[in-house]
Amino acid sequence: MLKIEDLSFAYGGGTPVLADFSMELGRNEIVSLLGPSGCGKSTVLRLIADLLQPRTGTVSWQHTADLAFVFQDHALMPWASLRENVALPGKLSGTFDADAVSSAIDAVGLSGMEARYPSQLSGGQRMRASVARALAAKPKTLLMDEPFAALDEILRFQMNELLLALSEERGFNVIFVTHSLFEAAYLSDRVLVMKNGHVSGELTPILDRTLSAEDQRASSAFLKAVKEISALMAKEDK
Amino acid sequence: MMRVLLPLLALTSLLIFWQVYVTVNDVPKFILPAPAAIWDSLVRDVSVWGAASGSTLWVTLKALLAAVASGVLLALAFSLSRTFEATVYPFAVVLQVTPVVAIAPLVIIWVGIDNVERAQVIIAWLVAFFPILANMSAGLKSVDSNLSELFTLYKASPLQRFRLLLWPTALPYLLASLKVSSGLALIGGVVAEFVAGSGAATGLAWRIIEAGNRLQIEKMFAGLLLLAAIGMAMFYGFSMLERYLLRKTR
Ligand SMILES: Nc1ncnc2c1ncn2[C@@H]1O[C@H](COP(=O)(O)OP(=O)(O)O)[C@@H](O)[C@H]1O
Ligand SMILES: [Mg+2]
Repeated sequence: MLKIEDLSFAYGGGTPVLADFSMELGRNEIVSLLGPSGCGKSTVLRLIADLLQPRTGTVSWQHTADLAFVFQDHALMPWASLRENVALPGKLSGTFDADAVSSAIDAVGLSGMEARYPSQLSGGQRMRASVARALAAKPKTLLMDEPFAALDEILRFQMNELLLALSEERGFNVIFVTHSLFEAAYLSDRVLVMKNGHVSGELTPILDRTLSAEDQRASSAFLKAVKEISALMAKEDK
Repeated sequence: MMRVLLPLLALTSLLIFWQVYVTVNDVPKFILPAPAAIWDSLVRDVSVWGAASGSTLWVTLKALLAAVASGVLLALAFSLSRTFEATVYPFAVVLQVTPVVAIAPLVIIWVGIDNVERAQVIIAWLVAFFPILANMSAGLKSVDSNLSELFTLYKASPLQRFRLLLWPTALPYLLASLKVSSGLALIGGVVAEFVAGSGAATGLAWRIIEAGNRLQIEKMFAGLLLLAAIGMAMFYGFSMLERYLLRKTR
């Protein structure tokens, strides 16, 4: 689906942020990028989205790169209604589809609020709106940059459930940047740990996806995954 | 309600006190005329005052329109080219910091001998222009960087970026600057009339000078009152416009 090989990158002429960064993304996969603040996670997403150009290395897509981006800050237009916000990608790329907009709003549970402005939505609802805007673009790959980091834990759990359900239902891949071990373990098919500008470790949590959310978070498989990710992060990078 | 009622109450008390003070102490009307006398002079020459107010308001609005057009366009040009901004911005600052009273005589000589109104508009434009440029420029720079990246990601055209991102982001800044600049334009217009001095001007400032020369103090007060009223009307008018246009955003 997506293959990234030996990316290197530096802002301006500054010190390198990325060096030999490689990763792959398979069909219908949710991959987390986990690492300390400032290690270059957002930079990786920008390179994937073609918003930045790598110094060396390649980003290659097997099919077309149908991307959508979700930021930590909801980045909604305060002067536009929920519907107008969600319709933005279609409007800009000339593929506006009223049904796709309605269905995206419906999918995140905000139907009935189409006419509201961001100032009239709660923090959690704004994040849902931001996800709806990404869905309306009908992406094959969703890039998410610490999307739920500003939400309280209960809302974050809800959003995690929603994301799992949506990716299942709509069949898109996700590259999910987070600095929460628990979120990474819970959501991901694979967790990539970043250090010194490249992937320093990888883990595949083996979870029983039939469990309820509560049971999952209390299961020994889940806790084991968290522990292993934690060990990966602590490990010295050679 | 209180915000309207309280100032009105204060004004009424002041007027009553003023009237009583002048009457009781028999203050000569060429020193401090009573409110009733000022009102009389307004009513007596209502058509003259109307024409003078109209002239002043017209000059102010024309200058403000020119200031908005030029300020917005220049701010846009600044946002497109850092080099252009670095080159031109200092000149805009020079215009801003040089006292308008000192520039006015030159403008009058260059363009105002046969047409005072033209000089008035130019001088008023000079003072009203900078806050619009500075605010609009700041507004264009305050664009949300994530939103801006989304526009890039979805391949927005330059026109779409302007219409759907830059303009709505900068609009609150522009509206705020209108409240400041409308008052400045009024001041600029008045300064121009004072500097022009002769009977060629037809606005409120000229009526005030004329009344002063004849020691008709109540007329001077009447002119002042109308100037203040025009300034207030523009300020609150633009405040209301601001509140209306941004009602959903906040
Ligand atoms: N626009 C920029 N200009 C210069 N340096 C930047 C810019 N954005 C990020 N950086 C630097 O690059 C490094 C990686 O940043 P980032 O990718 O945002 O990290 P993360 O998302 O993992 O917190 C940091 O040291 C940061 O200071
Ligand atoms: Mg980041």
